[in-house]
Amino acid sequence: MPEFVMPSLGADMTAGTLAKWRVAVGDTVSHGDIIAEVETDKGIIEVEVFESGVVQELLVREGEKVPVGTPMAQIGEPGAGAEAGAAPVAESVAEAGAVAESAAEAVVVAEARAERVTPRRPMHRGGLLREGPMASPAVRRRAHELDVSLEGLHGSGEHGRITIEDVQHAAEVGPSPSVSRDRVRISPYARRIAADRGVEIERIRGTGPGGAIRADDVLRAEASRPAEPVSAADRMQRAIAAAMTRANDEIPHYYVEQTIDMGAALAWLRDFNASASIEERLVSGVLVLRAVARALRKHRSLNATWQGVEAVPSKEINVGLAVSLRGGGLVAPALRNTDEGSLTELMARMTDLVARARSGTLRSSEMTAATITLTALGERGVESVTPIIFPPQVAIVGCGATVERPWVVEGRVVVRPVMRVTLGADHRVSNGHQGARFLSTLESLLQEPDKL
Amino acid sequence: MTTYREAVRTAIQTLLREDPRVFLMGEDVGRYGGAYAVSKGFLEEFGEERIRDTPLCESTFVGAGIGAAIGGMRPIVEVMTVNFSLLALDQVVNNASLMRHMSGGQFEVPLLVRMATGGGKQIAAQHSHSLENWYAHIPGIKVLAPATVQDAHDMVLAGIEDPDPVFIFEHQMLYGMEGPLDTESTPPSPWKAAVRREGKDVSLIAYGGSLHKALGAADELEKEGIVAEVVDLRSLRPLDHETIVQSVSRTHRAVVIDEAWKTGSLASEISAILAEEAFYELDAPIERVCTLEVPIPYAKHLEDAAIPQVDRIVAAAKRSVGGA
Amino acid sequence: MTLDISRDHALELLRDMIRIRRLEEKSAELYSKQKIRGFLHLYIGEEAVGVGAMRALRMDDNIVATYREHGHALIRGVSAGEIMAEMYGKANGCSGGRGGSMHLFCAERRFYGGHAIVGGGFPIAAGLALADKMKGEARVTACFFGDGATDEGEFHETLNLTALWKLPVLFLCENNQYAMGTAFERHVSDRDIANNPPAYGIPSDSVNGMDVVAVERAVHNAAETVRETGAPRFLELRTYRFRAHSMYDAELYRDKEEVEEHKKEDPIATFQARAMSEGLITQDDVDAIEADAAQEIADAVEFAEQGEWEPIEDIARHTYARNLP
Repeated sequence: MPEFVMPSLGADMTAGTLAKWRVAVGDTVSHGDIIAEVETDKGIIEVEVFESGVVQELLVREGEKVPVGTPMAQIGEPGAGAEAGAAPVAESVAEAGAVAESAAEAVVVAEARAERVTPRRPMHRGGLLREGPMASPAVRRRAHELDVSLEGLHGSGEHGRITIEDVQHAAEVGPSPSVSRDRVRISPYARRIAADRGVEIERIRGTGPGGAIRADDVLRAEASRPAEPVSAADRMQRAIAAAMTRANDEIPHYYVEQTIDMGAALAWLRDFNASASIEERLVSGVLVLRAVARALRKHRSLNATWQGVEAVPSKEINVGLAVSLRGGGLVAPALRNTDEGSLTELMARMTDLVARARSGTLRSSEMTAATITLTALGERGVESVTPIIFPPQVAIVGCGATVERPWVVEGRVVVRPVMRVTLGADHRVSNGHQGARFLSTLESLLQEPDKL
Repeated sequence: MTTYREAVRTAIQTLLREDPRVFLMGEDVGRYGGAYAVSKGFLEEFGEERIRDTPLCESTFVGAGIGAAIGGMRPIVEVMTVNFSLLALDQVVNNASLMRHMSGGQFEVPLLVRMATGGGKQIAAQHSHSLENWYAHIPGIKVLAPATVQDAHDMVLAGIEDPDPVFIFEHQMLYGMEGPLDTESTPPSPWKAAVRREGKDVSLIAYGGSLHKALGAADELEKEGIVAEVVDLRSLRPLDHETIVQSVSRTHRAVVIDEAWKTGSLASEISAILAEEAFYELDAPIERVCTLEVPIPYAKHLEDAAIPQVDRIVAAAKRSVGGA
Repeated sequence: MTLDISRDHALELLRDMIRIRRLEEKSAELYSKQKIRGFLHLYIGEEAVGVGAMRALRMDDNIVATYREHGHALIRGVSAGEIMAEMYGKANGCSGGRGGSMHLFCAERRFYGGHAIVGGGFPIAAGLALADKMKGEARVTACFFGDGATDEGEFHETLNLTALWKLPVLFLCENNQYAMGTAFERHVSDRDIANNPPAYGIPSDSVNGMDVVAVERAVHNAAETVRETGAPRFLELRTYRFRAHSMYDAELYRDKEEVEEHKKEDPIATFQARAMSEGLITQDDVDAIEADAAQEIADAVEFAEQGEWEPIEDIARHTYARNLP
């Protein structure tokens, strides 16, 4: 049915108030008749209707302000009858009100929906949910140092995670709203050549106004820079520090511990080594290594990598062996497919790996392939260790020394060689029950060393 | 060698002789010989039809120039100074610059308007304005500022050839300046800036009456071991971004000299261009040497203090280069 | 006094006035539906001036008009479709969609706009006339303007200049009694506008702008004189606009009764009545004219609706002759 709508009466008119109807329901109108008086900023304007017919319904109340384009009246075919005559204006107004309300609702819903389009990943932290831009505490710390706001910052990491590079880039490219005292005053040109020449800005003394660093200052600093070798050990230490910090910050660890009777294993080992050549002799560590690997076959949830929002199980079981280096460093290169092959082979591989670790000749694949790490500090004499997971792994096994301790066997106290094994695992991926079952499996395997 | 005034005169005379569509219109261009003596002798040579003394009605005779240009002629409208041109701004902004656009490309305005500009002769507040930036602000027109004798000649010829409205600003202190004039060779494009002097430590960017002060400053700076590059903008709309940016990319420091008031000036525009396009080349904040934010005084010492002078340019350059 | 014109002539005059009226009414409707935006100034009530004047001028003459120029453009020969499309802002409008209601231009018809600055067209008219004079062309430049424009400095400057340099400008003052919202007697010191030009040496006349035949005659005579003498002339056409200054005008400045009074002089109604009473036209003629006009306007709306929008990539076109680097 044709409608009379609030007309646009001027370039800047967005809404008008219906001052007065000049027709009533049931009246006949022709093209050009004045149908209403509308109040605008400039005064009252008589408004014409461009349709001809019978007024069926008046949709807007006198005194009501509506946007341009709002239907105000329904004009029916002449002779269509005034069946709406019984329905008074009040009803249609109520209807209009309801329409307006639901329209307003729709707007609110749409707005809310728009807000929720960009989902925010909550970060689990021992059960606590945290909202906000996806950024690790290390990233947040750096952002704070560089006075960069994380809100609205584009994250180039997986699933939109904000990385340290993103923060550093933002600090260089985008001006920060507040001036941080720590921010370096440096001319754009000087900053550029400093970056080009690898001169660290923080170490330059500026001679410009307010201590600003100028190009000359950069050139001077570069000329007087001593050749500073950063030792490999230093670099490694820094890397480890970074990794451990990250692990501690990001991974919700849980720990389960088991004291395992190593009697059977050690007995078997004595027998094996007695009849083996020197090259073929095994150490107890390789038994534990193989047992861990075999146990993982039944507990895949501990043999995975964390990728942003979920753990992806690894196809291979590559146990990383924590090896301490002379000079204080630590590496955990991987033995691929630790669960396969003979124990003798595994021993040989392990020996080779450790030797190459200590001589710094590891292959890069060995550095990155570990799916779980085993750290055995028994030689150091400690009885247990509560290790920190190497990200992106989701579990770590720590073994203490095998020591003789009083043990209860069939109701009587005896002396047994026992070893404390601690499993540290990522609570986002597994739980205590699973961890406990793994240790249980491990213990069982070590009771039947001939099957390893 | 000839004078700036003579160079302009020669160019207009050439046009009047060669193109019957060209005519000159403005106050006192005929009998008086031109307020700056540019059109001396023209009335005798070309007659009243082509050398038209107008009544004092800037709006209407600039507008008539627009109408005549639309109608197929090639008028040269001389507005005595930019100070009086304000009366004609409506015709310039609402007709000349818009005609091509409003008509959807049907009508064009091949009009050339020349006006004297600037201060420095103690002719006081109402007669000393530099409002080139007001014109350079308007899309649809073009603005030129000849600072050399050669450009004074060449830009008139380029202005007549151009199918769009062209406004030439002749700094009133330059009319008596002497310099070489070559009327044989093909002139370079007027729409590009020119490096008048090469340097490496700082770019002095200027136009019109300020160019020679910039060159003077460069001489001074050289005595102190600072080798300044001097860029003559020549065209104020369009501005030659490329030359400006290339210069500052070489020197890493910029001083912009503009006789207008600093606020909303062309110096501001150039600073913005450098910030946008040469940000990573800047080793110092951009310096602007402009007229102080005061109406131009009458007394000589005050007028000199208000308008950019060599010493202020030198000081700005030194700040920019730094103490090191 | 009889009309003293032929039947064909009468039909043409009536047809043209009705075409303008219906075009303006449709424009009003489309404006309230937001098809036409910005400012819209309707010519309703003033049709006799536009029709009489445009018919009296030659196609070779130059026309400079104001923002209330739809009627002038239509009778000049710019198609209703192109006018409507221009008001829509479409690329097939007579100014390519770049101008809108206030800036109708047509090079082919020597229609030099469509000016929105009151008084801004005077110098342009002087310049066009100057060019014609210098080229030896015997053309009239007709400059249309309202009573409000006679207040502007450019009016007086141009009267002076055109008289001094003897430029062939025909000044056509459409005095509709109001300068936007200010009544005539409140904005003009000398109530008789026709007194101004003689002060500059320009002959001046006044005519009833609601009488299309009188308008046509007066403009014809004045134009021919300008053409012959090459000197300017001034003609006041006393008219009245029945609608507001523009679409967004509450008309607080005048009484409804005054408008109703003037409506009795509706140029279309009065001419139609006279022509019919003299037996020049019949009701059937009128009906046919109305039907044709309705069709013409409907086709124009269709043309506008079908028109394309100029692509945004072309936005810099028509700023300069060639795009700047």
